[in-house]
Amino acid sequence: MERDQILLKLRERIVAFAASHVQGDIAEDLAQEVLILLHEKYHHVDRLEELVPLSLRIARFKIMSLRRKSQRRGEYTQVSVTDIQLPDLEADPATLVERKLMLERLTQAVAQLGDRCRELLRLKLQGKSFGEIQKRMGAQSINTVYTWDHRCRQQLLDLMGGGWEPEKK
Amino acid sequence: MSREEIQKLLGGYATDTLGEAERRALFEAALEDQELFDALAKEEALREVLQDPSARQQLIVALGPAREPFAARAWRWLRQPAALATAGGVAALLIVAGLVLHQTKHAHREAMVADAITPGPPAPVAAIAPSAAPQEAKKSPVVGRQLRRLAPLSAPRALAAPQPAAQSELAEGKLSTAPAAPPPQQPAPMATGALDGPAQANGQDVQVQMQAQAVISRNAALGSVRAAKAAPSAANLAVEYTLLLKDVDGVYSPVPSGTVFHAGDSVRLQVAPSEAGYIYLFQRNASAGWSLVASQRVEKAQRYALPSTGSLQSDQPAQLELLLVLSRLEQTAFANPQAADIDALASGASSPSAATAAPADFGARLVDARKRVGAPQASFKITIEYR
Repeated sequence: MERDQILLKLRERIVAFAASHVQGDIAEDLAQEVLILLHEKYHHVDRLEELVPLSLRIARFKIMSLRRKSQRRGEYTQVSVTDIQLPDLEADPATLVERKLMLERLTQAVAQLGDRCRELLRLKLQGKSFGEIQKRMGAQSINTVYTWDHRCRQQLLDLMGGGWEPEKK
Repeated sequence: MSREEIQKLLGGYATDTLGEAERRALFEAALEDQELFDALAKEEALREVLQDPSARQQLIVALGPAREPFAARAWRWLRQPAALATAGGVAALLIVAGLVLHQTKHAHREAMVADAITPGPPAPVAAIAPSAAPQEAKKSPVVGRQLRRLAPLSAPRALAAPQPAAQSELAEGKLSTAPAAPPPQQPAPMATGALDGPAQANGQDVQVQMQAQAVISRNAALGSVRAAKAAPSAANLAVEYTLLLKDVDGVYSPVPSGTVFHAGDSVRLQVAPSEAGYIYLFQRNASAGWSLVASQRVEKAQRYALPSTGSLQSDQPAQLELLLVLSRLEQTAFANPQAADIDALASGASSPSAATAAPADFGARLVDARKRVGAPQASFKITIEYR
């Protein structure tokens, strides 16, 4: 798949995703900002395996920024989208605090998992691939490991209240 | 990969567990599927956290120690003292249970064989010709089954030589010598021949009893198909005896075997037969030959003093030769015995040298030395020394 085709599909998906978090016109602008950033700063990235996670990360960053701005009573809402500075994707103090809180919740939740899920998550965190996990845990097939992981992920999500991040008002 | 399978890859996105092909499959699907794309976007929050190595390490610590493989866990568990003790106890229990079960089954099988083949009083076989035996055996499946069941038991050859312990058991009435003691006048016929011989003792009462019963039952079973000589019982005749010496108070008391008596001592013989029947006591007189001193009906294992009145006595140093005859049938001819007949009995009599171990309160135990199981009578020679 060519880069332009990928970006075209990415825009469509990002607009739909952002629309569920912000207002419709802002969602369009947000998607546009992501594509501009990919074009200007990450023009050398053209593989699907890199473009998708990168665009997801930028989109998340934009959404979080928008939320913070709106929380500050619309201080920056009058600013044109084109005037918004390009993000460096480095974590600001607020993001660091959010990550720390999320890590605490995660730490409490993983301790409540069953033996198999804990072992599976441990191996994943150690950087093992699904193939290696299959051998290590003695699973008959890789699909068995996929199924285990799917259930464990769902179990962990439930333990964390249904989402990785707390619901934001 | 199907959509469901691709959705299962979501869990590997945040932890960077996916391989190249898995990532490509997931992202291609996400570009076409908004729901999957949204799910992938939500994973981004977790991915950000897990990209920090310290955060990963914190979670690994929170997950606790790594779980060992099953074999390693089992081995470690087995090496614990409590587990070892438990496993050892269980193993010992299983072994004991197995042995008990095996012995129970063994005993039950033997008992079933004995019960199954123990007949009532054997039917008279006089009318059956010996040559009819094989045909009868073929015609009768019951008999055939009995014979097959009997096959593993003592072989006739092994039964040929009597063992003292077994004879002792038989004579003391510990063993079941069914069929029950027959009336002396009408002894129940039974087969002999190849099956002659006492039960072979092996030191275990139960086993001896089983074998004895099996021999009897086998005799009875074969009695219906084989012509044989009539015999009243399957056991060797035996007599336990001790000498009683009359003391100054006129009371007869047992004396140790080998006691040397003095001239004028009054002696009686206390006997206990192994079978019901008739007992006869003869005394040899140097001039007049054998004379009947006492005779009476006796019951199995009951004690009798012979003679019941009077005593055996010698007024001078001598050897008092006695002949004790135990017969299953009444011997009317003994009232006026022919010297030749008694001499013949005496010549074939068993002497104390053939005695086997006797109960503590008996001087000796005499068993028919000719080993004729089922013989109608047996004679025993006893010598009392007077000095």
